[in-house]
Amino acid sequence: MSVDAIFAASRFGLEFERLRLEAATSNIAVANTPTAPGRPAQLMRAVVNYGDGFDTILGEADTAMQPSLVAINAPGREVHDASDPMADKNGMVTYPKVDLVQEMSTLTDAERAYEANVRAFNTLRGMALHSLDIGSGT
Amino acid sequence: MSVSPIDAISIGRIGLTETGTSEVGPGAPSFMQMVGSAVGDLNNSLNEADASARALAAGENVSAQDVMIAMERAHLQLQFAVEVRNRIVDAYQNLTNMQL
Repeated sequence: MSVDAIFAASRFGLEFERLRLEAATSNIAVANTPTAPGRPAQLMRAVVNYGDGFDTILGEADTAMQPSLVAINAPGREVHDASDPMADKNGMVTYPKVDLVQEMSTLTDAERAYEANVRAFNTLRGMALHSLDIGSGT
Repeated sequence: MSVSPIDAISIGRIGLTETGTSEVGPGAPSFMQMVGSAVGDLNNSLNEADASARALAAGENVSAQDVMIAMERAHLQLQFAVEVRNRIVDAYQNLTNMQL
């Protein structure tokens, strides 16, 4: 059926918004977790892998865009607490620098966008079902 | 007063055999092949939806929206097949009820 392409677009949108929500949840979860000394703090982010293969350049690949989660290095927030076992030699503990306001707005935004994708999918489904009623009116 | 005679009705081809040509070319699939392949597609999509629902129930790493989309796709194709069947049955009954 010709609606398969729109189904695929809806599926991509739903998957991407779910990954954004997952990334924001992970970032909030690690906001107060000290990172190991000498290692950069890492935060999650949802990205889209644009396939760069030859098929994609020719426009032949079906699944060119695949959303996924990647860990990116983030700046740290240093707190002096010499009693923490994760403290470095200066007594400083490093936490990932998470912008909680931004993460919360990402949560809300991703949830609303997920709802919008579901609404678009339901509209398409309703149209496809209504198209089967053509000519069947008595 | 003269009345012009009615011309005789000529039914020219009543004794001849029917020599109609087929609408489809020799390479085209027959109607039953077309219906068969469409039913095969429908069966594939139903099996796909069933497999994804089973995978979700078994706790595999399948996202819920994929399962719902697969089930909706199978549902739409099934409705389409049912409508096609209704039209075919209607046409068949119209032909069988025809008064000759």
